[in-house]
Parts: sequence; structure tokens; C-alpha cells
Amino acid sequence: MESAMERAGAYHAVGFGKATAEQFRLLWMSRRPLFMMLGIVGLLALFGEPWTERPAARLFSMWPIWMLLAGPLWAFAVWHNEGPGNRLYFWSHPVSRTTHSLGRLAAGAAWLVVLYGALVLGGAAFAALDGDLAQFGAVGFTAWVALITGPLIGFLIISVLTVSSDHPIRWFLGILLGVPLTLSLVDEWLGLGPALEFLLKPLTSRDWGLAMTIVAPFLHAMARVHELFIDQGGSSTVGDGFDTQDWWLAMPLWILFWLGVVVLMARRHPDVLPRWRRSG
Amino acid sequence: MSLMIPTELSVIEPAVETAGLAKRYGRRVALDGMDMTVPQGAVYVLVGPNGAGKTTTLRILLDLVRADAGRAGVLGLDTVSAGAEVRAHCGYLPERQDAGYGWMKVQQLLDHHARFRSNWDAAYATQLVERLEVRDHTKFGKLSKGEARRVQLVMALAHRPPLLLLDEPTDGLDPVMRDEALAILSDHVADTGATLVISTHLVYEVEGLGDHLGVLKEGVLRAQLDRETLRQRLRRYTLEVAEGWEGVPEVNESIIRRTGSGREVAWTVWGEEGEVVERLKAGGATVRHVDPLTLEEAAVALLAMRENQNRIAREPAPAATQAEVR
Repeated sequence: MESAMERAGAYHAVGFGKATAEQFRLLWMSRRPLFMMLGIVGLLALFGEPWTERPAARLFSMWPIWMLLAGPLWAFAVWHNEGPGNRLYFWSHPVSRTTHSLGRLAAGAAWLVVLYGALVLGGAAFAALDGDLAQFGAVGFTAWVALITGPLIGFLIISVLTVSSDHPIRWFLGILLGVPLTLSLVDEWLGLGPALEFLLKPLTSRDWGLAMTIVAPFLHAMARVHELFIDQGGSSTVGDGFDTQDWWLAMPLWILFWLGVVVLMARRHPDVLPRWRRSG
Repeated sequence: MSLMIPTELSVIEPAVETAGLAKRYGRRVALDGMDMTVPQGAVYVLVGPNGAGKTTTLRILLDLVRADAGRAGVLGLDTVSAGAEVRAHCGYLPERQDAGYGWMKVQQLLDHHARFRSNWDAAYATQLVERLEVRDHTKFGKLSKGEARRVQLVMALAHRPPLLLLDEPTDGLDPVMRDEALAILSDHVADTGATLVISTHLVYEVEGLGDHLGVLKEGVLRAQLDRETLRQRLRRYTLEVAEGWEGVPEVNESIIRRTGSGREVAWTVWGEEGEVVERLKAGGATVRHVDPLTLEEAAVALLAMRENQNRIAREPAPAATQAEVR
């Protein structure tokens, strides 16, 4: 009989690739990508701009929904019912905690790309039926890339909360409502407008700020859609000031920044208190 | 005679070893300097009341919970720096029956679990599913407590791990399934030579399996010894004594538990039987009979021991008995 110790050499921890592949499969089994897609298509059917009857243009009209909601919503969905305090089973697998958390996030990001691909293919199919395929393709490479990097950045930002907190929605709403309110009060009472402006520059800069990195290419894409589908080649003022070169620099840097923050949060063991909270 | 119940085992190559483990949850102390040693191939029963720190101990061994102080090693691996490797070598039956994805069908959950285990034995898993009468086409979240427990047993065993950490393994099982589960564990040990750590407060259920006992109370390991030492040193003495008999001073401090009243009393005493009997007789008692304790009785007696009663708490058990793991 082979002894337990002899067999012990045959037991291995699972690496990032295998863990990510299994998390990708798990998300599929949970049907969350399907519900997400149905949700997006449902929103499109309900709220798609009525300015055209042409399905391809109608599809484009829902990009605001996609841009602003898809990433954050998907980040919540990926960890649905699995806050850090409820990951006993998840963490009992032979994968390092950080690796496993990042594997789930990578799988989530991959599904976001797949969903985007499905939407684009659906749009292309509709456009082909309408005879608009040429216009569809002419939206521009930067716009196509931006339409997925924006949601990916949103996905990473919300993942900072979902990876590390049992109450990510509370944190999200707290930050969303609390930060602007606090800043406006600080500005009102203490008159720190210029200081705040400096502090908020990473968010608000027109060239490389986070908000513009996410929104500007969307505005640019919408301008292109108007030009191609509505104005039929006419000029549009939407998206003025979008600098493709700045954006191509800012976008990967913001992705790297938020990826770094997510990795830091994923590495944090909830049982290890920061030094200042340790007793004795 | 003095009370010297071992709290340390001297083992050359332990399967599990902890040193000074401490853990607090807020103000509540879960573990307070725990030194546990589980020999290779042992079936170690960790007993203690609810909240004694048993579940925390098992979770620390798998790095699911991080200790505030101390260190833990499993099969020669450090649980903090090699947590994933440790989990690869362990089968774990958690205390919580909801540990698993409730939305998955049982078969899906087993498939998912298998993909993380390099040594998953599909044939053995099927055999366990049949023996434990697991309904594999039902959603895991729809199972009763006992049914979920059976699925978790399959998940813990099917990769034939060298170390099994079982937290209340029979909790929720009906008597028939409990016996089947214990028979499976017994077969598993016989087939693989695996080490078992069983945390429970229902010691009688694992009476036939356990060969080592750790008594945990309020985060402190009050006793830790092998069954042979227990059998030899911890016995119940049924005595016939005169009315108002006050006992034997040399034996009194070795008494762990006193039951009975009047002329017939039963004392649970730690010590060498011949010496105890001799002193009791010399003190005027008639020794009717001397009985070894079951694991359950020993656990209850040791748990009832007062906090400061085991005064010399660092005496390793005799080396000769340590070698006889099974």
C-alpha cells in the first residue's frame, strides 16, 4: 500500500490559469452572463432612442447604458452572494487566496469582453440587414476599443469594493453620495476651491482624467454614430475636444492603476488587521 | 501523587503541529496559546464544548483564518506561506452545511470541486455517492442538512487526501447514515493510512475511530494524549467507603471527577493503577472494581477538570506509547 506521505507528493496547488478557467466556467454555469445580456437587451428594447427605426442605430443608442452600467453591474454580479465573509468554500480550494480572487476577476473581465463581442456582432448583424454595415464599421477603431475599456475600468473600480467588502453596495452609494456632498460642503464653508480643484485633477482633467478617459470616447463614438446614421455625413458638435492620442496614453495607465488597487485589496487577508488596529 | 496529564506529544514527524496559536474575535478569545501535535496516521479527536476554539483551529490549519500569534504546520508545510499547498493535501469537512454553491446541482458541485483536486478519483467519488445515497441531480441549496453533509463528505474524501480535517462530521446525519459515514472514514484510514483530525463534542460517535484525544476548553488545550496512555492512566475506581470517609490526601489531588455518594463512590483518578489502589486501600477504602474509561467518559472527565487542576501541563506522554499510533 502506498503510504500517505508517499502520495503527498502528488497533491498540487492550482495556478492562476486553471483557477481562472474554472471561474469562467462557474460564471457560465451560474447563468449570470445570460441574465446580464438579457438585461442589456431588455433595457435597449425599453429605453432605446426612438430617433430611428433602424435597428443598428437603435443598438448604438443604448451605448450610454452599456458604458455607464455594464462594468459596475457586472462587478457586483461576479461576486453575487460571495462577500469576503461568505467565501469559506471559495477559499477552501487549493489556490492561493490572492490568485483565486484575481482569477474570478479575470474570468469576470473575460465575460465582459465576450458580452461586448456579442453586442457588437449583434449590432453588425442588424446593420447588415439594414444595409448599414459600412457605416457600422466606420465608427472607428478607437471608439470600438473605448466602448470596452470604459466598462472594464468601471468593472475594476467597483471590484475594489466587491473583493474587499461584505457591503460593496453600501460603500458604493456612500462614496457616490458622500464624497461630492463632503467636497461641496468643504468648498462652501472653508473656501478650499483651488485646493480641491488640484486634488480632483486626476478625476477631472480634460486630457487624462478618469472621467474623461471613460466618457470622452463614448461621446466621440456617439458623435460618429450621429454623423454616420443620422446626419448621413453631416458634421456633429458632439465629442468636440476628444484627443485620441492623450486617450491612448491615459486609458492603459488608468487600467493599470485600478488593477494595482484591486491586486492590493485582493492580497489583503481580512484577518490580518492593520498595524494600528492590533492590540498590544 | 500529583495530576500530570500530558498536554504535549513528542512525535518525530507530526502531521499537524501548532505552537502558541492565539486568535481573538474582537474581545472574545478563541484560542489562547494552543500547542497541538497530531502524529502521522493518527485519528485525533479534538473535543471541547461549543465555542472552545475547535472550528477556529481547523480553519487556521487551512489558512482560512489567520492566527493573531503562533504558528501552524501541516505535513511539514507552513499554513501561512504555503496555504494553497496545505489545502491541496487536505480533505476538509466544514462545520457549515452551506459551504458550497447552493445554486449548483450536486453533480455540478462535485465536478467543480474535482477540477481543483489533482488526485480526484472519479470512480471512488461515484462509489461514495452511492454508499452515502447522495441525490446528485438536486440543487445543493435544496438539500437537507444531513444530505448536504453527505455531499461534503464526498468532497472531502474523493481525492484521497493524506490529511482529513473534519468539523463535526456526523452533525445532521441520521443514525444509519452516521454509521455509514463512520464506516467510510474507517475504510479510508485503512486504505490510505491518512491522518484524521475530528473536531466534535459528540465523542461517543467516534469512539471506535479515535486513537488520540485533545481536550480543548476556552481556547486552551487542557490535555493531549494517546488512547493507550488514557487507558492505562485514567481509570474509574468504584469504592466502598465508611460514612464520612474523607479520602486519601495523596490521591485527592489526582482525582479528576467524583460521582456517587454515601458508602459507594466512583472516582476518576489519573495515575498508575497499582499505586492508586494501594493508596486507596491504605486510606481505608475497599476497591470494588477498576474500569478503563471510554473516550467519551475520558473527554467528559477531562473537560470537567478545573482550570488550574492540571498543574504540570507540559509533561510529554511516554515515548513508547507515542510510537503506537494505531
